[in-house]
Amino acid sequence: MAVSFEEYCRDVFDPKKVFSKPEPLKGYRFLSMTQYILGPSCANYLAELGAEVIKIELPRRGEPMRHTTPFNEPLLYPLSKWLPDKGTGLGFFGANHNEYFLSVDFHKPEGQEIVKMLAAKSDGCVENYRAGTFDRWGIGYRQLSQINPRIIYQWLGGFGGWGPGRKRASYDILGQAQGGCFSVTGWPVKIPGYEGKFPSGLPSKHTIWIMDYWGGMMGAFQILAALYWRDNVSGVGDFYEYSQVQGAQRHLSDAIALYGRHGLVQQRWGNWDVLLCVHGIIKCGKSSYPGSQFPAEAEEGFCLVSAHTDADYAKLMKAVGRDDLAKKFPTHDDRVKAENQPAMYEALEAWAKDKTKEQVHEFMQKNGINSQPVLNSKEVSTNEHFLQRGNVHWIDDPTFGDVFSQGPVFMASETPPRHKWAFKPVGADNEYVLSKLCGLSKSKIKELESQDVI
Amino acid sequence: MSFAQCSLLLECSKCQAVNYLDPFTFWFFKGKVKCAGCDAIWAIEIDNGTRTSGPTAAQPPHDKLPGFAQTKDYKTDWRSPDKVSEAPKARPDFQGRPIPIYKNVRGKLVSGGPLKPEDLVGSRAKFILEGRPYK
Amino acid sequence: MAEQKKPDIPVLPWPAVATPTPDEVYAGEADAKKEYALWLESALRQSENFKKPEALDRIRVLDCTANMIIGHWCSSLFAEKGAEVIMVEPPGGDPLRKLTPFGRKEYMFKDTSGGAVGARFLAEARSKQSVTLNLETAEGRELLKKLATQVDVIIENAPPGDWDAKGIGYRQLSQINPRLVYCWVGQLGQWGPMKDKPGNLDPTAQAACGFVHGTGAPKSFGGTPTRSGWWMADQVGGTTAAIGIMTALHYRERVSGRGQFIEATAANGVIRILDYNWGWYGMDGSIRPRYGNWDLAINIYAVNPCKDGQIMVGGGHDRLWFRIWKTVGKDQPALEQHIIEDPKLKVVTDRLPHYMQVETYTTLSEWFKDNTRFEAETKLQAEEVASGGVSFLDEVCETPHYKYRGHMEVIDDQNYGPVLIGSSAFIGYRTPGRVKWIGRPVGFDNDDVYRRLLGLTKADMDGLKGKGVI
Repeated sequence: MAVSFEEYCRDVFDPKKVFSKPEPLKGYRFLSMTQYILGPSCANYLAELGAEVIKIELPRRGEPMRHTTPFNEPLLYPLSKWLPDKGTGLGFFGANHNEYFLSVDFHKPEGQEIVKMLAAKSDGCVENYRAGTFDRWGIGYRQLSQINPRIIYQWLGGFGGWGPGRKRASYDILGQAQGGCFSVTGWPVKIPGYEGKFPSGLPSKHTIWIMDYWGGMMGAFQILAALYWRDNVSGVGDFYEYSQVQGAQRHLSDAIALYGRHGLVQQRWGNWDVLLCVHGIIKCGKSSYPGSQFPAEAEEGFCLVSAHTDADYAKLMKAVGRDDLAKKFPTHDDRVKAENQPAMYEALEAWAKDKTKEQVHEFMQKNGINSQPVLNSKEVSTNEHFLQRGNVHWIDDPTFGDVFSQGPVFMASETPPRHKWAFKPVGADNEYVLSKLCGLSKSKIKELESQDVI
Repeated sequence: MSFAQCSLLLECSKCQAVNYLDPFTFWFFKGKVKCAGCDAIWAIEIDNGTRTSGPTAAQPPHDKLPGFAQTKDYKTDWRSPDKVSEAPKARPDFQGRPIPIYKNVRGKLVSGGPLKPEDLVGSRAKFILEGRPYK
Repeated sequence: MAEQKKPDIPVLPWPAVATPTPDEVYAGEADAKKEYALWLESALRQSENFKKPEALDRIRVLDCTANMIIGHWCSSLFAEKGAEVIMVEPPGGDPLRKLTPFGRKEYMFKDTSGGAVGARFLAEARSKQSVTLNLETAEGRELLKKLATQVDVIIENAPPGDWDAKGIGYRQLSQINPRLVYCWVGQLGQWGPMKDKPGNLDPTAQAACGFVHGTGAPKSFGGTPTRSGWWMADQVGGTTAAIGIMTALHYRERVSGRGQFIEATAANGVIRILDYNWGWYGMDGSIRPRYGNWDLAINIYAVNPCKDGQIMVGGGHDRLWFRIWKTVGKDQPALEQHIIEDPKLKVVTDRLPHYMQVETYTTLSEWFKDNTRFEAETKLQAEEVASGGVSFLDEVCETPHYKYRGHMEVIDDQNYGPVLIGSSAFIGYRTPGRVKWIGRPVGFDNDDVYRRLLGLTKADMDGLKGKGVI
């Protein structure tokens, strides 16, 4: 067996072969009664695993995330067969792959009956409406578990449905703000002795709706664990409440421990690291695409440089002509001190002032120093590494055509996740779902449609 | 309506243009701003969002441009790089409204533009289903 | 190196302010209105956790990762749901144990035997056992092969191909135990043009996947690409690894009876959630710009500075837009009028272009500058507008809502004493997640684990220790 390890990995994880392998959640069904990102992404990770996920939205216009798109510019059409001149924004794109789209008005009793019929045949449901809303509509956990004791019901939201803040509405960045994430990301207001050398900043949000998308992952993991418990141990379902702000605190568990024991309040530290030095992202003075019409790539580049062991650090400083700094901070304990770190990064940025990030990276690699250029979204989209691995890929979407998408979240040798389509218009699968799962006739469906139930 | 008492809205006393001193650039600021309306230079100090000094007439060069500016009656505004800070853009020609796209970045068909009822088969765009360019 | 002297600041034990009682929380609320919330409390309160079963207590996980958080984060999720998790560390321990902010040794956590560990590692050592094993020795690798027959899951993050070359990779271990679920975790991958090199750590993945480029203020606002303040990509990637492993376990039990090879990377995880970057590029070549604390797709939906910090407020639709300006108008009518009368801001979608956001947020910040986070939140809340200040860690830890709901708890640990931690985020009815202990000193459980899983005797273990195998 002379296959190298890399060849072996390329073969077993080959994204082009995923459709020849079984789907891990084939035969399982979930309802996604969700909007925005937190709830939808949770159900979406399950849809990538092969579960039949039925997304239920309000009729005609669908859920609010369809009406969100950057700069108003990119939209995919039609929004629905009733509104072909309107489109779905790309805000919807990241959390709705592989799903079936049903439109039902939950506020109406006939709509609630449809939900109950579906819940009787489903393994679980995900919802992120305000806590107590579904209970009021008769389709909360208390009611659905009567119909189907095996149901796994995952509620996701900002603050949860109990406690002093239970009535607060939440958004992803509100969760980031209130949960503590913001306060530790970004540049400090000033670095004493280095005014003007580094940006002076205010707390920064993460560019992604991390509380939402990652919160959905936590929910999906919990649902999978519940499936395992139900199908192998107990035979019954479960009810979970995931709170975004708690997710933020879970992220910062180490900072919380430091506060509890020592009263420390972690602050921002820019592009450097509080635990390791040299291990930071430096500015490389030259643009990799000077004169580009695309401003996002025309600006100067940045590169992570990582040389925190004594040997690597000495090698790095010698290579950039700053042996004096190698001698000044010989041990990691010297380097990692807050008051010492800026000097090293100032020196590196001075050295990199006339270089592109590629030049900096090449220099580091040649000298055996770990580095990673900061890539923009085009550089990632056209990057051979991510394309070969299917971390980003083109989908031949049946409704919208040739669309470029992020890939599924992990690779597996036997039962990999996969993307079948990007998403569908509002109510695109009404006939399919309602006849297959609710036994409704063509005329009944038309009647419900005319009454705006679906 | 006067914005003379405001900190981040700089009403130019020469031309009455309203210059928006965006909170990221100007929250802690000590220096000179150029009015987009008339190019007058104003020295100003802002500490924690509150103006502590100025605006006082000053000499060029300016340190920063306002984030945006317009006349108080909203009829004229300024968006060029010599007047206001550059806007982050995803493409060279920012539109700010839906851009119909029927061929994507690699020249293949994508349903990125408005359709009419006769363009559909069920909920799908017919031109995608049939694999031919949109008319 | 001598410890620096800690500043002489009195530290109040947590909680510094008493947690509200249920009576206080629901005071004045009609029975019908609070019935659902009270039912939730009865179903979900963590004080009942240990009376309830655990979803994954039949699973045994071997966490052989080191230097990164991605693997430890992944195994924490399993530990919280009840799995038995054993950390396999090199003799001397995972080097991550030694890292402490700015090298400050006085901020490490000491155990009863005098050893010390940094907070980063300790936060993800929860409910896990610790054994030592030297995989650089042939005997150590033989022990690992034996352990592989006793466990359901192995997680490792050695440089690509390292374990395969040592004879303990998936190809070899799956021969020994076909039911084994083997997961490799890392920054960029085991294969591919940018596969991991030894020593690649977070924020490598953050930089490579587009996250850093997209985070931070735009250049025109004086900003730069910015990394997350913590090893965020590791945590996201670790969560995807947990999903992958759990998927494989599920399939094994329900269908195949076999394990499989899972690869989960920090970069893949974060790429997955960089929402519309990819679709946007594919449509017209747009390259997503940095937009600081504002949003490319929604106005009002941003964080802006205020009198005592930063405050988030959201209101993407007319209903909230007008209420936000009404709130502002109560203090500064001219500002409300200025915005409401601008014809360019009348239609929701017209508010999105950058210059409209500058106008919006500059005017809003003109009001924010005179209000603290609390004042702004309170005034906006009166108009039913959701807002929230950027909270610092001490404020977070003292927020009544989080204390009441047990988002953080003190575990009085046998080895480390009382430690405040972020609790398990798996709040649930029948099988809630929970934390049993904080962590273990290096190799604390050698005797228990090697005896119980491999039948080693004391003499065996003494011998192995002498040879540096454990």
